[in-house]
Amino acid sequence: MDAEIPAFNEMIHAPHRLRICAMLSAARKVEFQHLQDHLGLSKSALSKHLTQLADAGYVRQDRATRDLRSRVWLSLTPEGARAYSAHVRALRQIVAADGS
Amino acid sequence: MLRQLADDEDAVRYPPIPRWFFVAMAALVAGLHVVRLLPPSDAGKASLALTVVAIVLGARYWLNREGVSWAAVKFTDMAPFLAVMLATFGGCWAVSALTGAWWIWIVGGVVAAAVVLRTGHVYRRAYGDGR
Repeated sequence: MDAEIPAFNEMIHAPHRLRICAMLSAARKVEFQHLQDHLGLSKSALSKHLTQLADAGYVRQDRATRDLRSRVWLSLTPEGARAYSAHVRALRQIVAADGS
Repeated sequence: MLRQLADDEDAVRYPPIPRWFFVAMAALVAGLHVVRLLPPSDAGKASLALTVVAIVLGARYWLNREGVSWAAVKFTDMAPFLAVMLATFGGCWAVSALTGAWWIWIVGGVVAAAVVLRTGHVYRRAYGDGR
């Protein structure tokens, strides 16, 4: 998928999944807890969305232990980054078309 | 919805940063100007040391922090600031080389530090004051 070409993506478009992708697009990795705090979702709800994104091949999960605490770090895969970028372009196109 | 997405991206890219960070950065960029008054070999070493400290501070307190690994800063957001820094440094270099006015590096250092502090003020107003 070419990120330059707008492409509406039903998987990403769900509001929370879209916001998850937005946050992950702004860093190499973001910790689960950081996503949860910012989005105000329960652990189970966030896990459910992340599993759906991971199953689609858009998000990767890595576990790392620091300060004796296991942490889950999330990142967009290259495919996920392209899909998110293409989806945002599609949204912008819709907004522009609405305004004209 | 697009506004919300931009806010979510910014929450990762631009964390609240404490005032001391910008004060330290202002001192470092001022130092990068003032060290040009040292003999060339010393100026080179001092510039390298100051640059390394600035990079380490930026990496530790901005790009990598609790819950975020390597925030992806947008070049277009940084471009105006970097352009002013380069223009200040380049301007001092040109004036110093053409007229021998060594004191221009002190003026440049003050100007660059003021720009960093002003940028920090605007940044903290927009994204919050970290502790």
